[in-house]
Amino acid sequence: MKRSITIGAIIASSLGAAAFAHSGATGVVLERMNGMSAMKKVMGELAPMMRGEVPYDVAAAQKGAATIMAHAGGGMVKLFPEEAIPATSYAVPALWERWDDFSDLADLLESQAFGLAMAIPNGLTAPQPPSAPHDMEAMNNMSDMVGMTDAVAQPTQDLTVAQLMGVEPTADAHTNATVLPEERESSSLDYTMMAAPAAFERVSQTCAACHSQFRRGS
Amino acid sequence: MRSLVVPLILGAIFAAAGIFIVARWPIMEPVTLGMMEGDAKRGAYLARSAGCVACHTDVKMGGAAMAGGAPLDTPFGRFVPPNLTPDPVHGIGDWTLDQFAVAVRQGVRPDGKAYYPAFTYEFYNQFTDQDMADLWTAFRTVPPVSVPTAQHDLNFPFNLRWGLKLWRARYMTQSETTPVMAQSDAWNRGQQLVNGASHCGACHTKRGLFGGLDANAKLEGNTNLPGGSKAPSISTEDLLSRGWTVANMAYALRTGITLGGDVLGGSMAEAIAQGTGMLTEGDREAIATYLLTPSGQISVGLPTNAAASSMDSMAGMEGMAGMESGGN
Repeated sequence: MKRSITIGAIIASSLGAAAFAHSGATGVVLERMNGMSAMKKVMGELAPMMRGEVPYDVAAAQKGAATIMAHAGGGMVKLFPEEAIPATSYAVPALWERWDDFSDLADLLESQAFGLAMAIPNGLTAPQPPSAPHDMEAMNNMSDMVGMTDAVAQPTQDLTVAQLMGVEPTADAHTNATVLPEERESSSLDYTMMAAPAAFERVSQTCAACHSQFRRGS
Repeated sequence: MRSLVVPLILGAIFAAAGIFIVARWPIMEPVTLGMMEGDAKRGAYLARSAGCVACHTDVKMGGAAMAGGAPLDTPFGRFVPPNLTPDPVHGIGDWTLDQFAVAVRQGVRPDGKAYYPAFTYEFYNQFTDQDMADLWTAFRTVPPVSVPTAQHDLNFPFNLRWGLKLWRARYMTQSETTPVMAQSDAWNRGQQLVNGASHCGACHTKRGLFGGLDANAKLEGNTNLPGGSKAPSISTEDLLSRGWTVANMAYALRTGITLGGDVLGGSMAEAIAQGTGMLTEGDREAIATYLLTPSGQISVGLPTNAAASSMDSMAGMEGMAGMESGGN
């Protein structure tokens, strides 16, 4: 069975027809699946590095950031023409109904990947002196776990009652994907003073925000 | 013809009597906390860990804190998480602490009627009296919002609230948390969160035809979530076979990044952004430690310093001693 699919795919592509993915996606659906898969691969490879579990590799991380940049922003939205959603696609109708929200997130991802590229030379910790005290990353406490002494910075554990109860946003909320686009002000961020893992987590927040709204299933 | 009328009338009388009896059936156990003092910080942390804030705030629509959440579309109809702000008319401003404790721990409204299990009170039964006082104090800090909540829109027969008393008798589960002294603090704390406050099983355990949690398939996954999302199995065996560790799972509970690099969407994205992502690193590690420890084995994983300190400072729940004396 597997062989016949493989042979079929070879014949199809050799005939100049659209290539078939393992899931049967074709055309733009296949293209965007490839783009998403490329970004997924980057996230999977960089996550252990950002946790300090594998050696920090600036060149590999830069390459990963560049891959995300290439598949985000305009490069991403152009692969979502408004058309009937084929069964092979994970896109949901809300993506086109709230097109501005979607394209905002695609743009945010591109700028965050660019920010990540700027933060990568900093390595796993923010350079001294730390940036403005209200910035969440600046307040990160260093982990005191054995063997991870200068590895992953911990997010602040000191949220206020108002923040925990949802009355006030968390310190960095206005710069990330968890708030509505009109409340976002990404321009205030200085990625050159940010630890790479913090910049990397911003990227993941945007992936999550987009997936939760515009991707079928989980 | 007449031979049918008598049984029909008798049947109707018995049915009416049955409904009357069920409707009058008291399900509430009295609680007397009186004016017990609470700690807003601990309560707020518990409100966050227990999903109160996430569910009762419509974050995506920019809704005010605790003023009512996004509707939940289920096979039984649409549930609307109500306004829990201190507004006396549209919120819970005229409640007492005792009524609040009965609602959260027992799933019973101040009028004695039952809540639908879409409100995950089945996981909150072991909250201590102090937890309740802390939660109540935290809830009272939220600005009142004078906006009524939309009604649930449920299909027959689920719209008959008295039927919930029968449901409770047959299907209601209670969270079970048994401190194990031989296990680490992280494991014990993880047990509290997974089985209690953080109610992982509400999504990751499948539900039967009438919405009851399947006790025989605990945390083994649920393919039928509101909104068409799926929750994978998070049984210890499955998690370990997929390569999860305490470190990468605690990281996933903050960032949503899974092992292969996919970033979780669906309702888990919200559970992370509005829940586990706001917990302490120690608590995320505690959740992972508990989930990844095979039964009968002593928990392994990262050192427990972080988890231990979080239990002292802002656990939002009583420690081991509190667990034993708590509940109702």
